Amino acid sequence: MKTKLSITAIAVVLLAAVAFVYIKQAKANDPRDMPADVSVAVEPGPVTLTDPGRLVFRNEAPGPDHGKVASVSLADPQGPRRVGQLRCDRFYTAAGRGLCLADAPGPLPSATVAFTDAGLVSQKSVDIAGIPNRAKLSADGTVASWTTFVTGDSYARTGTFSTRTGIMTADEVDTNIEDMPLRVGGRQHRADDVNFWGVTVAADDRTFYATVATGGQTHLVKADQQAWQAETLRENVECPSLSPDGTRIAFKKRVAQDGARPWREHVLDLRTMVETPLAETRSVDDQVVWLDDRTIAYTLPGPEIWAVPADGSGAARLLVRHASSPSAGYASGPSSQLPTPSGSSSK
Amino acid sequence: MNRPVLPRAIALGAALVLLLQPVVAANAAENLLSHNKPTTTSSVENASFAGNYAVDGDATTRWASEEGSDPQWIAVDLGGAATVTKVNLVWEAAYATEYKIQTSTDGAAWKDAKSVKGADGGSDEVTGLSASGRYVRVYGTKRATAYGYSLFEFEVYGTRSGGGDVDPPSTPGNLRATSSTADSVSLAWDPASDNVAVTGYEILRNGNVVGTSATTTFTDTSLASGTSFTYTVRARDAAGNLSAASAPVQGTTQPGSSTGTVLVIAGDIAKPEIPSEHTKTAKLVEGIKPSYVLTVGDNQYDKGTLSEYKAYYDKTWGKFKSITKPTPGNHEWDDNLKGYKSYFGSIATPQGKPYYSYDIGDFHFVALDSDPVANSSSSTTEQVNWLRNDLTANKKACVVGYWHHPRWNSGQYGDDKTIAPLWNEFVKARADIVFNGHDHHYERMKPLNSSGKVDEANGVREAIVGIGGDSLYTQIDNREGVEKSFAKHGVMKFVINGKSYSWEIIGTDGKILDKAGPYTCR
Repeated sequence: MKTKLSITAIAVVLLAAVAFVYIKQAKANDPRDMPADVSVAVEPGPVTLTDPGRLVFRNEAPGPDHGKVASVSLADPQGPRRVGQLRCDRFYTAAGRGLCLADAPGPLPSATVAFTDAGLVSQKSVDIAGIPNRAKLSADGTVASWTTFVTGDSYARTGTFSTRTGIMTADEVDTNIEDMPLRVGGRQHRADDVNFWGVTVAADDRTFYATVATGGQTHLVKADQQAWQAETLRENVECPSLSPDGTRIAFKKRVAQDGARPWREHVLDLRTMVETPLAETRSVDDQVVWLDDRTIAYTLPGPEIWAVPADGSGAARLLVRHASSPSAGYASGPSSQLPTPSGSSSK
Repeated sequence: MNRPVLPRAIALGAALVLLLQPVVAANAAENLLSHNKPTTTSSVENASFAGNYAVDGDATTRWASEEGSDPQWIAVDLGGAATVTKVNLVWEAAYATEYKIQTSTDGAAWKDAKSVKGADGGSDEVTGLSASGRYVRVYGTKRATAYGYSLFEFEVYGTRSGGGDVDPPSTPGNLRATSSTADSVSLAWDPASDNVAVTGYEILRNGNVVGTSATTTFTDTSLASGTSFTYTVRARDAAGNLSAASAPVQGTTQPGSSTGTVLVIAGDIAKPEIPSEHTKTAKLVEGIKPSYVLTVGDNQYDKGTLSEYKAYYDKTWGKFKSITKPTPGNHEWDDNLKGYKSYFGSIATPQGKPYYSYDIGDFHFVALDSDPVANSSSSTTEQVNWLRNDLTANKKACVVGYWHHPRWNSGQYGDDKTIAPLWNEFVKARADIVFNGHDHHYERMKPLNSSGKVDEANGVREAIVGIGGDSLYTQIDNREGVEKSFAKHGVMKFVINGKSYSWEIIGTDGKILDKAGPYTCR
């Protein structure tokens, strides 16, 4: 047994050395272990989801507060931010409640999704499979929905990824809505390749819109959470986001099969089914949020939060640097509160 | 999100022999050199699929490379120079269609010993090699799927050469089962000899290493009752040289003390890409010797056609066809139940429909066809009405339902609201237990009501038994009420006795993975 023992011993030493180097490298690459970026102003004070006129987001500034939920004044979004203690990969707030989708440790990609109260304290939570991707609450904060990647981690190439989408209310959890009966073009659809993502729930808390991919095509679906039935409305619509008045859907439309700019953000009027391309010409890979009935906000690489008018006019403008996952559950004000376009351009 | 369809032929007979007894057939000059030796890999999918799992002698664990990239490889360090004559590979569903067997003296410069093209997965025995080196690797250049490369077992056979002790011990003789109880088998064998010294023995049950012994006896414990197992033993010396495996011997545990009727329940069974798995679960059923076999759907992949049933299911689980009370799954519906109905004949539709009921003792069994319900097709109402009438008419104290799609589920598909019309009838009827498949894992839940909440007074127990042979789903996030869950292949041994019932889950290695009950009917 001597030979075997020494092989084991060598293997253990080698593995320990490899693990040590790996951990050192991983630590060096972790934004939390980088020095804080002094150009990002932070002010003391708690992040409270019931404070009016705040834009809530994920703090992306390097330093120990990286990944934590933060907020800025919507009137001065590039002003100092407040940083809370809750860490999420994707966060959403509505009506004073929060939804935190966070990576969970483990050998397989796992996540935890949790409702939070106004003080960012986790309430009901569930463990789910996959890599965090989208999270959204209904306007009254009672219906949560989320999407994770369970195979692959990018929407960029169809057929190479697989998503898992769930819905949760105070007394019901469905960790995978893929079993929802689906009608495509008016006919009952039966296929193994059905993928749902990007849910947006209407004011009645039972109607929702989402993207469904099957047979290599993406569709906008309208679904009923009570009747448990979904039907396709339109093709080439991804990551829908319903306007506060419920009349329009902002979505990303695939305009190129690959390349640097696969998507162009559009708004679809559900009354006329007319699509309008927005002034943002860069490719937006996000489920955008409505700050009010006239303005949407979204994350672009940086990451940075940008806003653009929802009617195709104007120009995109930078809201917050070193930030992602915007939402404004208690915006309660006209969009004129937002700063006018600065020198930043989307060109 | 099932894995893509990969129609192809499999040399089933060869796979069966190789998988059940992968080390039995070695000739005297050809010894297993790779067992538990250090491995290196190009990548791993995650820590659960590290390289050592391919050389551990356990065909339930595996190495898997990262997904979607070529080439990928796994190499084993034999510990010293060797002449390599044979390599055995047991692929998971993620197999290579093109790969090379390579050897190296230093682990850096590699020479091709064999190039394989047009491979079809399953089990590959690459014989007639005459390569030398200390390191052997499988170098995959073309994947059969969008996934990576994954090997249950990677075995290198040959003879060690060069310095040090390279002579393996002689093969242990006269292996015999000396006694058994309801959950153990005791073995003894004659000592092996070695040029230096035999340091111990490895005991294999159904081809998997299950223990070691420094003496010439071994007692294998925690086994399923009334079940037969195949044992072999091999000797090892201080240098790690392994002898060839002994001649196999059958060991059988005593029947359990419980009287009653024994049934086997499982679903998601015959997957063409991994015939080894349903071959092993069928072997368990053979050992259990049940009075009935109940299937919870997806008995045959990929479309449940008659030719697929004949090529796979019939050769394994088909042995129990005359005592089988099947249900169809979504894969049988891919062929509109044509293959299912023609394969099972009147067994599939004993009352004219793919749903039916029958009584055994004090138990009323209800077999349903859930796929039309899960897809909300028009025929749903008729089945639900039939179910309501059937449960109303039932006079038996104990009620068991079984079908494919689970209402409550901690696996990848999650809870399924479309199944509520079926589940709610069982709640209303104060039924005892429902068995399902569809997700490829096992879980057992406390009694759940129609909202999926634990309700000991008014709820119905549920168990998912989708572990009959298809690729497992390992990521389980336990929902409310789950008492036990895991992802391992096996079958349920369900025992009914008067007005009570209990079950054991028996893994393909013959071990008991879970015990539930006895429960008294409500």
